[in-house]
Amino acid sequence: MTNRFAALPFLAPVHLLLFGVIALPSLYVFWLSLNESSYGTDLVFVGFENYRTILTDPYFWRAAWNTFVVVNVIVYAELLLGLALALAFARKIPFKPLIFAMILVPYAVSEVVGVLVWKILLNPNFGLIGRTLADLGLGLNWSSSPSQGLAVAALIGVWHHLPFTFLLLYAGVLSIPQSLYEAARIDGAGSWQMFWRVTLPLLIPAILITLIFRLVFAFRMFSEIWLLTKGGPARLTEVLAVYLYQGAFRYADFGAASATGWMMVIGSLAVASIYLFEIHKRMVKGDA
Amino acid sequence: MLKLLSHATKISGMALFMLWSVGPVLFIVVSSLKQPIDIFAYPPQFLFTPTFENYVSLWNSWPAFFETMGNSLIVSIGATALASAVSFLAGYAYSRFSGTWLAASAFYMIAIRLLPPIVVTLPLFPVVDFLGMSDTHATLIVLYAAFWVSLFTMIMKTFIDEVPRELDEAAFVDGATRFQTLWRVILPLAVQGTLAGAIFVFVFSWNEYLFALIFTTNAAKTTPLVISEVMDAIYGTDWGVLFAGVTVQIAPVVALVACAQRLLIAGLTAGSVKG
Amino acid sequence: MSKTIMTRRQALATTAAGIGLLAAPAIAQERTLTILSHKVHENVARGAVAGTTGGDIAGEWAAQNGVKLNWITADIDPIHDRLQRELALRQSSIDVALIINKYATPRLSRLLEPLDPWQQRAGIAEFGGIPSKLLDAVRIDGNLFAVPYRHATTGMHYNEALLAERGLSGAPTSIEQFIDYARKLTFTRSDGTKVNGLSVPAGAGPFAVLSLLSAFGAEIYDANLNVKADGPGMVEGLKTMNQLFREGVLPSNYATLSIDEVITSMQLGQSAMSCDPFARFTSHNDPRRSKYPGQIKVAPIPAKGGGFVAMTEIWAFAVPKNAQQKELSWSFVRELSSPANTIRAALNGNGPVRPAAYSDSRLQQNLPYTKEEAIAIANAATLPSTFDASAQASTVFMEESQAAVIGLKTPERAAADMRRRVEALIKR
Repeated sequence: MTNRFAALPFLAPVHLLLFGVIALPSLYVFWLSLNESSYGTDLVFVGFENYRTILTDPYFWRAAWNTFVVVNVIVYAELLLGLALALAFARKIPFKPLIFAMILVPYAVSEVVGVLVWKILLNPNFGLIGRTLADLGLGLNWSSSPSQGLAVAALIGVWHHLPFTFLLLYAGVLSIPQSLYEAARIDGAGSWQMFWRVTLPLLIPAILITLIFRLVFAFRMFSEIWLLTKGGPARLTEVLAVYLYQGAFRYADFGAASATGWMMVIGSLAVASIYLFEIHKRMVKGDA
Repeated sequence: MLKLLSHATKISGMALFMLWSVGPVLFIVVSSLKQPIDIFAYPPQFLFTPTFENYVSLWNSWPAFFETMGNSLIVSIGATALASAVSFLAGYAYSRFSGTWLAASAFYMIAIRLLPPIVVTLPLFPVVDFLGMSDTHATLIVLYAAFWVSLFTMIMKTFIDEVPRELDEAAFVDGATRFQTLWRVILPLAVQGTLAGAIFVFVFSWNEYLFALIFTTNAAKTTPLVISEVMDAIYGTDWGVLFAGVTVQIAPVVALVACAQRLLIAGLTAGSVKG
Repeated sequence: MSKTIMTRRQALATTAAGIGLLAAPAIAQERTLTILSHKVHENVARGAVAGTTGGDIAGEWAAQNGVKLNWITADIDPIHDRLQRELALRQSSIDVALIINKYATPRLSRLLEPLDPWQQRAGIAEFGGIPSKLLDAVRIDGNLFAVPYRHATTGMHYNEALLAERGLSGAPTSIEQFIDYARKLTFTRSDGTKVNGLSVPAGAGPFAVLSLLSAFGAEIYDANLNVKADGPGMVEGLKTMNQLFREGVLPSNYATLSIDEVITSMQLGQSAMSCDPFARFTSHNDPRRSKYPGQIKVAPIPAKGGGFVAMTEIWAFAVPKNAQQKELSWSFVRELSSPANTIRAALNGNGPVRPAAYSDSRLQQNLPYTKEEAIAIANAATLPSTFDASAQASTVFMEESQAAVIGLKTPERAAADMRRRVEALIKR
């Protein structure tokens, strides 16, 4: 009981910020999703009509499926790579500072520039990678093949966000006390056993947070598709954020865009829910 | 022999990975030093006489690029400071207190981030305008911080979890208040977490485009807006100038990470002290 | 002697203004005019690009009227995003915006100041010099809501050096010859470089692709919104493009080709011809960036059965209905739209909306393609945006035409689907 009020002054700033900037507008966006509106027009209440419209639109479902596949590929590929790198970094490796900087460097580039550079590198005519592959007879056809297009988008996504995943996991690895490893070593544990018995259990909180936030961020991936394929060929590589952007800002249909936004909330909740509930459970127990 | 082979595979795998990671950025930086006409030469030129021509063009044709860097810096530092401060406080609370109420608020803190920011801008724009806060640094600072405090708080929580509670209690016994304990005992031991979180907020604010586009015009215009104008749909992108701009733009971030990494890498020893 | 007097008078006037400023700061404060546009408009209105000779047109107006110019620039989509948000506010800080006609829907037009009354009160000089075709692109139900300032009209760019390598010379003069050229110009050069005969930025928008298709007589819908997307011209055009794609005449990354990729491949000689706005000429022949400076020419696109085709996009001045100082906005628009200033802006690199500008000798000297562009604009069509779902219609066109060209659908099927879907959008 006393705890609750003692925690309040520490929590107030964060929650004020979140409430004012995100929660309140989000509620209004929900209200928008129940109305028909555009720039400079009054709201017309239509109930769940906007949801009905998008849920019966095959393009929405294609975008949802593309998003689901790409998000899962990106996030779990990043998790594996990031984990491997974080563990490698916990050991003695040569040129550590240099390699550290090399891993983080893609993060310094803005998303837009990153995608643009990959696109020209992959150009089959004048791109360094695209032309080399074409000359070797390994020419990609990501422009005409939706699955290859999505794969390239995923590759760029991983390239750009791996530093984020790595940094979070590495911070987690750093926080594991060395003494536990020593104790395990005295018990005669091999490095594999140490990973399973010491590292992984203690890394779970960091992994949970990483997964949740990466899933949430990846779920709204936009630039990778918009700048690479614009959703083409023939709208086959569209993802939800592109679908939403077109609706809201090109077609100026705020109702449908807001409804898409809330559907994305439900979608990302679905892909992240196991981890969210796990973290919630741990926090209730106070041991996360 | 077999061991040597596996070693060689490991090293070449790592080298390939590094090339993938650094290659595109290297391409940008190296190309910015080439004559524009040589950027797409094939086979690529690895040896060439560097030229600063693109940087001169950037200076001459995009004065706004350099003028807006000050805004970018103010906004990025402001957002980083604000987010660090509030997240540190909240991280402490989530680490040291527990209960259903608290857990629920943490759940809400994360769940609130699920709505794509682009739709959040729909109601925010008229409100910011009504408050007369359009085109101010403060608006961007508050927005950027708000979109990162959820993650940052969770990072701080995991780090503060590792600081033994006995240290807090010892400080209490010595007559320190909670805030004094926080400042003198916890913060120094959780500095790595702050650093990791701060890097995220800084880099995000430094490169952010959407909010900057919607909420600034001139007085608070940030550099990514100018870069997006260099990637132009009417004249066609002048790659040399763009790459020069991007190189200038990433330099401070690389410097920041280089400074931070000593602390981050040194963390291993600090971690052992905690245990 | 007279000069000194003038100066003294000016000095007196300034002093008077200064006193006024102290006495009534609210009235005498220096006024600011805020303009939202693409960077290119600021450049042409202010002569900001080195080597241009039109001078600072906007700056002179500002100095005469004691106004400070506050120019907000961004790329095309962001400008309109920002503008529409501003238009929804009670008061907008934007005084003048440059809009592109593809965004000029009835919905947008309702938020913009009707300009006919302004034109009647204090008209733009020789307003009739702006062709009605261009004015129609920014007029809905008889209401003029913007004044055309710049046009971007498509032409056929071709690399003379590559033509010579294949034993060809001069621009193709019929669509059949154009296609034939494109095939012949698809080859591997002695240094191993592959050349595509023809490039179109098909990933960027409907504009350039539609220009090429219109050479076969294709049209999505006409000015009266009669949908014609499944006409024989569309089917034949798509069929031909599909063949060209399969033969490798169009690049393998056709569906995602961006504007930049087409420009760069032209500059590098990896595309021999392209359909793109005339203004690309400058980038194509820029000695800093192009391997073929002075050798990449541009001509109007020949149409089937003779004549020429082109698509044109129009940038136009608009004044928000919720703007704060419309007198000043209109004064600015009026000044920049005068016949003399149209020519000056053209000398700064603008696509002049008054055809008379093309017969100006200074422009003819500075711009090598004036004659060709004049022909193109005379034959140009716009894609009307007179219904609210016109942006969706463009998306449908992109989707169906890409599907047909890369072979996901038969051209007949794609054209039929296009018609059905666009009709549904227009009815909505």
